[in-house]
Amino acid sequence: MNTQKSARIMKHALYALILFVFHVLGSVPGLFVVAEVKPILTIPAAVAVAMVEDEFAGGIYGAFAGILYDMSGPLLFGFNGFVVTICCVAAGLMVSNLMRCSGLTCVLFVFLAMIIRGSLEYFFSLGMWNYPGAGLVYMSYTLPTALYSTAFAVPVFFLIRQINRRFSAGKEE
Amino acid sequence: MSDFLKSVRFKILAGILAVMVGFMVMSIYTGGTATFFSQLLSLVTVPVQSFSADVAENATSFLDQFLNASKTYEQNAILRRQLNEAYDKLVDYDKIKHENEQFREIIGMKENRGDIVFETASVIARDPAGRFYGFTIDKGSLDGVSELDPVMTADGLVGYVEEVSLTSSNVKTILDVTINVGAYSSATRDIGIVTGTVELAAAGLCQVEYLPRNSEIAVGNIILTSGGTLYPKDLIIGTVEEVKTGSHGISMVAVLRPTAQVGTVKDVFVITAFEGQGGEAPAGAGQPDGEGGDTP
Repeated sequence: MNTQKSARIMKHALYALILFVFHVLGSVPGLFVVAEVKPILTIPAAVAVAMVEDEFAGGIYGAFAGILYDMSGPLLFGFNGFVVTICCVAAGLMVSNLMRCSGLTCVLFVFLAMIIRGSLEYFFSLGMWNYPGAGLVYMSYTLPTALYSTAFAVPVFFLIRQINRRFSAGKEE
Repeated sequence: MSDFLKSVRFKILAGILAVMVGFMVMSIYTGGTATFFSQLLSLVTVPVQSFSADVAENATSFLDQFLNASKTYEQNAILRRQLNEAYDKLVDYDKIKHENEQFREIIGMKENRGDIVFETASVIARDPAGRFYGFTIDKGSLDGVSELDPVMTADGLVGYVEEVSLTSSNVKTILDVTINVGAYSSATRDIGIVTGTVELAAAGLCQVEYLPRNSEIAVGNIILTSGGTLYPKDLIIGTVEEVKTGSHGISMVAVLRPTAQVGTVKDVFVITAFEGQGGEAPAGAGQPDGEGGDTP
């Protein structure tokens, strides 16, 4: 019983640590920058947790990932937390009820989450104010960021799933 | 799905979403000031981010040496070329700046002395064996410089042109023992002759001889040229450092510190023309004239 509990604590501590490390890595100046675009690594990790765990854990980690991004993001504090929480809960519910938990599904969910988050951010910060040339930002920044972040979906998914399996195996023993 | 919507977990998540909305509302009301929660999180994240940024920067710069070696080489070549161009420009800049300063000084002096015609010159050589700091300037007869033309800086008189070539001239300074410049004290109006001595020249000084025995000349008095055919009137020569009785006891001698840095001067003005210029040494050169006139 104690082993199961400590394994669960360890697992979630690892998830939180991964999110934190991804946030730090993502905010290091110049790191992972390709053509002036940086990936958001915390969102793929939160989506992957939602898929391998459940919608509740996904919601918690989604909120955590969103808030971490909010700290360096341009919009209101809580905006990304709100959006990413919903996306992760949705991903967890979809995997629980409708879809398979696989790398491909993770790519799809991460891309959707990134597009939804990016589009809302673009709309509230630029689109709705009709700034001239704002569309260029969407094409040259929002979409590439979503695609670049999605490229990390598969390795992050397998990392999270590996952690989940290892600690679940401990639980079975 | 409907079970989830009715579960406690859903309510917790709804609570979390409500908190997020609360954060947003708070952010709007605080006008961009980070919320307490955000500040608390940043206490943890900022030091780690700072550390990781340092590590990443060091790693990137280390790897850059190998990954971008050819690019760095090309950049280096370009930068070296640019640096050389910048050096050339700097030389031009210094030259122009220098000329500008000289012209400003000339303008300043011309405002006071409209009758004086100047030619700027640079010291291009110094007599290595000379005890009296004689030097060569880069202007000669082609530039309108003539023998016996006075040479000065903005600070004061330096000497006169002793020998003229086409493009250069040799200057004898006021520290030289063979020079005689008619001078007077601005404070007492006493006249005398400025000349050098070997001992004083070693200290960068010269002296005013033949001051009247009853002269009230004192330390700190300013000595000016008295004017004549060789030097225009009222050029500053120096200030009195010491007053003593002459060797024969019939006149006073004042030790003079030239206001111009005679020993280290780099740029000078040659006075090529002034009102009353004779261009020739008056008869009895080397001797004081009765009116405080000067001789080379």
